[in-house]
Amino acid sequence: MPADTSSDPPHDLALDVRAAAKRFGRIVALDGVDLAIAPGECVGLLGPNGAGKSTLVKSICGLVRLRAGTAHIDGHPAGSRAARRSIGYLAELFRFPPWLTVDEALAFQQRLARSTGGAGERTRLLARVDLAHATTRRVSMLSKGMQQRLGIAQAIVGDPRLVVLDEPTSALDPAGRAMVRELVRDLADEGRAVLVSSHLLGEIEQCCSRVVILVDGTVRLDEPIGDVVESRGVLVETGDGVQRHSGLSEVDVPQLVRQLVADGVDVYGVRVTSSSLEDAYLELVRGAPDPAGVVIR
Amino acid sequence: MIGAIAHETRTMGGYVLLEATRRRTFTTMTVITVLLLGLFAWAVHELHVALADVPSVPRIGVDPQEFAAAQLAGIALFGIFFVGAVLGVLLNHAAVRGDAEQGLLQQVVARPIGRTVLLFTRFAVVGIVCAAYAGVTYLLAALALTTFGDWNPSSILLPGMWLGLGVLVVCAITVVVSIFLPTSAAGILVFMLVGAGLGAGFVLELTQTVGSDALDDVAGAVTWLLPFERCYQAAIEAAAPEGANAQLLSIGPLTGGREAGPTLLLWLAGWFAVVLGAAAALFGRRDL
Repeated sequence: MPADTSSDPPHDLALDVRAAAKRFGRIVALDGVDLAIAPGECVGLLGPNGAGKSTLVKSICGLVRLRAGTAHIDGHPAGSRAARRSIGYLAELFRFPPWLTVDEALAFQQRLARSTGGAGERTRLLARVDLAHATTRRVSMLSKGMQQRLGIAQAIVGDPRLVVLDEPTSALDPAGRAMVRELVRDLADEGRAVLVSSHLLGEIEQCCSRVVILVDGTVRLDEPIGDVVESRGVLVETGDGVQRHSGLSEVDVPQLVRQLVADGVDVYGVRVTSSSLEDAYLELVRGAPDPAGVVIR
Repeated sequence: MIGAIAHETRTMGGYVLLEATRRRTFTTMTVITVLLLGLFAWAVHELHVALADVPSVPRIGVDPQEFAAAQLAGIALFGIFFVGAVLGVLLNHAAVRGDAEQGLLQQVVARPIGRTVLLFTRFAVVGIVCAAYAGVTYLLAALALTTFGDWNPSSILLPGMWLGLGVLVVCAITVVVSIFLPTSAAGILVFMLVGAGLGAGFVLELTQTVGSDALDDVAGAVTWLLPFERCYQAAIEAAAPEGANAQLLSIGPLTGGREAGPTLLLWLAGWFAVVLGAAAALFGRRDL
C-alpha cells in the first residue's frame, strides 16, 4: 500500500511527510501535514484527542492510506516493503498474542523483521526494558506496564532507522516512565530517528529535542523544545492593556514594575507565565493562554 | 523477493499453527473426533448386527445392509464436513478485523511482511489443516464401515478429496468475511452461509421429485456460488453404491449426491482465484 511517490524525497531524512491528507467520511483527520525527522532526532507529537496523531502515525507505518500527499521512510514510500523494513512501531493499542512467552514474542518479531540478532539481541532488548527476568513468562501473565515495555522492546527489534512510539508510557508507573525516557534519549543518541506521540507533555518535554503540535489535522507548531520552553515571560496588566515581556522571570518583576511606574505606566497586576510546554500547547489548542497555565503573583 | 515471501510464509504459517496448538484447538478437535468416530463405529456395528437377519430383496436389487451402511456413510460425510467447517471458521474468523480490533494485527502488518502474504498464508495453512482433517477423518470413518459394517464405499479416496475441497471453500469464505466483520459477526455469517449452501443442496434434491424448474435453477445457482455444497454432493456421489440402493439413496437428504468432474474442478479454480484475489485487493486498501 505505498503512498504517492511523485516527489523525490531526500534520502538523508529518516521520515519525510509532505502535505499529507486523510479523511474518514466527512471528518478531516489530516489536512496538509508536513513533518521531517532526521536520524538522531527525537520528535514529540502532541495534540488533543482527534487531532490526527494516530492517523499520522498509522500512515507513516503503512496502516492507513493517505488521500493526498506523500510519506517516505528512509527514502521509500510509506507502506512499501522497504519502508516497513526501516520502521519499528509500538501501537497505541498494544496487544501481543497472550499464548506466546516474552521470548517467543520477540523471536516472532525478529522473524517478521528478518533480524539476524538471535538470542543475543533478545536478551539485550529485554534487559533494556527491564524484562530480563520474565523471558519465559506468557504474555497473558504480564501486567499492562510489562506488556508495554515488551512493546517497546519489539519496536526496536532489528535496529530500525525510524522508531515510532504511540503513547509509549500510558501504562507505566513513574519508574517505568523514567526508564522509557532514558531509552528514547538513548535511541536518538544512537542515531535513530524517534517519533513519540503522547498526551503527556512532561514526557515530551523531557526526552524530545523537537515538538510538533497537531490540531484539527494541521501542524500548528514545529519547533525545538528549547525554543518553546524558553518563551517564558511576565504579563503586566496596564491601563492600556496587557503587556507581554518575554524571557523574564519572577526575579525580574520588581525591576520591571519600577521601570514601568517610572515611565508613567499604571500597573494593575503582574503575572509570571509558568514557562512550560503546557502553556504553548494550551495556547494552540484553545487559541488563547489558559489561566491554569499562568501563575498569578 | 521470492526468498523473502517464502520466509514470511513460513513465519506466518508457524505462527498460525502455534496459535492453534497453544489455544488447544487441535487437542480439542482430536478428542472430539476420536469420540465421534468411536460412536460412529459402535453405531455401524449395532446396525450391522441388527440387520444381519433381514433378507435382501434380489428381485429389485435392494440389500438392507448395504443400504444402511451407505446411509451411515452419508451421515458421516455430513458430520465430517460440518466439523471441518467449524475448525476452519474457528481458526480464521478473526484473521483480519478481529485481530485488528484486538490490537494484534497492526504490529505484524507494520513489519515487512506483506498483507497478501499474511492473508494467503492464513488461508493456505488453515485450509490445508482442515482439508487434511476432513480427508483423514473420512478415511477413518470408511475404515469403521469396512471393519464393523462389512461394506466398502465405492471409492476410498475420492469422497475424502471432495470433502477436503469443500472445507477449503469454507476456509476461503471465512478469510474473506474476516476482512469486513468482527470476530463474532464473521463466525455467524459464515455458519449462515454454510447453512444456506447445505439448504440449497437439500432443495436441489427435493426438486428431483417435485420437478420445479425455477426451484432447481435458484438452488443450483446457490450451490455454484457456494461451491462447498457441490463438493459435498460430489463426495456423497463418489461414496454411494450402485444399482437399486443408489436410486433409493439418491432421494435422501444426506445421501443424494451429484456427480462432479472436471467442470467442478475448473469452477473451483476460478472461484478461488476470484474470491482470494478480491480479498487480497480489498485487504490491501483497508485502513487498520
